[in-house]
Amino acid sequence: MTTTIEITRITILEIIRMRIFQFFAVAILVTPIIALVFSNIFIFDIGKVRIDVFAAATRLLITSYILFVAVTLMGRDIGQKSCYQFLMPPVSRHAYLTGRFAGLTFCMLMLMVVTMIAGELLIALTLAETTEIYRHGITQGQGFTLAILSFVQHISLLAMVIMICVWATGLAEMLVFSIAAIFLSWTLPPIIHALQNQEVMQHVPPLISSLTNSIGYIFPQLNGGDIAVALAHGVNINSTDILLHFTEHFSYALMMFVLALIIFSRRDL
Amino acid sequence: MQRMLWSLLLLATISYGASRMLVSDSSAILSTVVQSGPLPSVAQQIVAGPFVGMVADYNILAVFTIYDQIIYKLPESEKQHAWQQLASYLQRTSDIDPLFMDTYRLSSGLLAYSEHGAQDAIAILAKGAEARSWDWELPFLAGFIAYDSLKDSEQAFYFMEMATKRPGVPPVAIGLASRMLTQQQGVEASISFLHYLLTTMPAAYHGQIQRRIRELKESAL
Repeated sequence: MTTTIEITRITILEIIRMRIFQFFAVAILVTPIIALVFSNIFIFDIGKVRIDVFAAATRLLITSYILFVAVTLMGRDIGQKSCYQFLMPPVSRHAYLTGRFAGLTFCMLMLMVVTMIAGELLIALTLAETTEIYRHGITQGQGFTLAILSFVQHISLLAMVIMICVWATGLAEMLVFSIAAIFLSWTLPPIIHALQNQEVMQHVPPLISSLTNSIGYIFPQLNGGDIAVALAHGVNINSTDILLHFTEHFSYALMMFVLALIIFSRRDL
Repeated sequence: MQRMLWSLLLLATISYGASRMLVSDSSAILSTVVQSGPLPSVAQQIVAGPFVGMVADYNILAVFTIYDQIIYKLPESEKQHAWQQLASYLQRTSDIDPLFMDTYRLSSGLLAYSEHGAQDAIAILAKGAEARSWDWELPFLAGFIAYDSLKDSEQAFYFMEMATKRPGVPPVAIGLASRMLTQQQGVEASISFLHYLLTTMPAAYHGQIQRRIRELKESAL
């Protein structure tokens, strides 16, 4: 346990000193300005457009954090064997990987706190500056909800990427497979949703339909479009849905991380 | 070698500048957005991934571009096709983000007053009325367009009845709906509603509505 905490601490220090991590944090703070500029082109739902831009930009930045900070860190550790700096008694492989995952998650949490602050500032400005007709239903606190729900999704994503990293042989493989997995997790939910459409169902053989549904279960529901759209329109997400969302992502993250531990304890380094 | 590199840089700069200037003068490139049209809704949702809201925003920007082309750039022969593309973009937006208010403002404020656009506008507003189940404005607008442009009293009655049952409906809307439903006529009612619509639309979009007001006033004389 002590070794895990120590590796977590080292990972956090390592990441927060990276210029790219500091860039992501500053970029998230700048995102509301981009949202303000972009929304000027629109007529009525200015508040909605601002939240759309903010949600999309922060999602891209946090996904980039996972790809370019988490994957390159794991790539260096595993690909260039620098994990041997840690992997000596009393540090076990499990303690090392748990520490790395906890450190990466904690740094992602820091980015989420920045997202929360930036989101709440954007909403406060929108509420102060625009009249009701331009900001249907937007209320203070939605930046907080957006950041929390998005954070939960990104824990799933991080766990999936860590699992890919401990299985892949080098940085190039890690990046390619992680990008492919993120792409599939973004695009599969709408495809599955489309397959449930009566019109589409008539043209798709049942075998293909059930195969796509099965593949859909392999990836977490990272398509946060529904949540972002609901919040942008000021529609409250009910507590049951939030609870299910949390359960789904924590279970998925746990599943992926346990798999990662099993694979990592058995692989050649 | 240095001299050759400078010459190449100069050549590239000139050709880049010339191509940029030619592009900004070309109406053909600007009109590609009109020619190509939107992707089907399902494809848009798949391509959008978690950025559904942004794709809906993009569709609305495409509507602005098409409207600008209809008013200032396209020849008369191409306008009908452009209006159809504008309607398609609005329909796609209402499919992927049915709560987005700009879609319905532009449907009732622009599309409804285009040639053959009223039925499309009503279909889009009906979708919005279903999604925004708390909002009286969308069924009210659909009812008004059905009454005013299509002269379809039955459809107008259906939407007006829906509007008057929703919370927050203002007396002016109820009064107007009542006049339309009981009398099923009245240029005056149409004009007063169109004036109301003018207060909810930005000045740049007043042209079509004012033209309709003029037509109604002339027909009343």
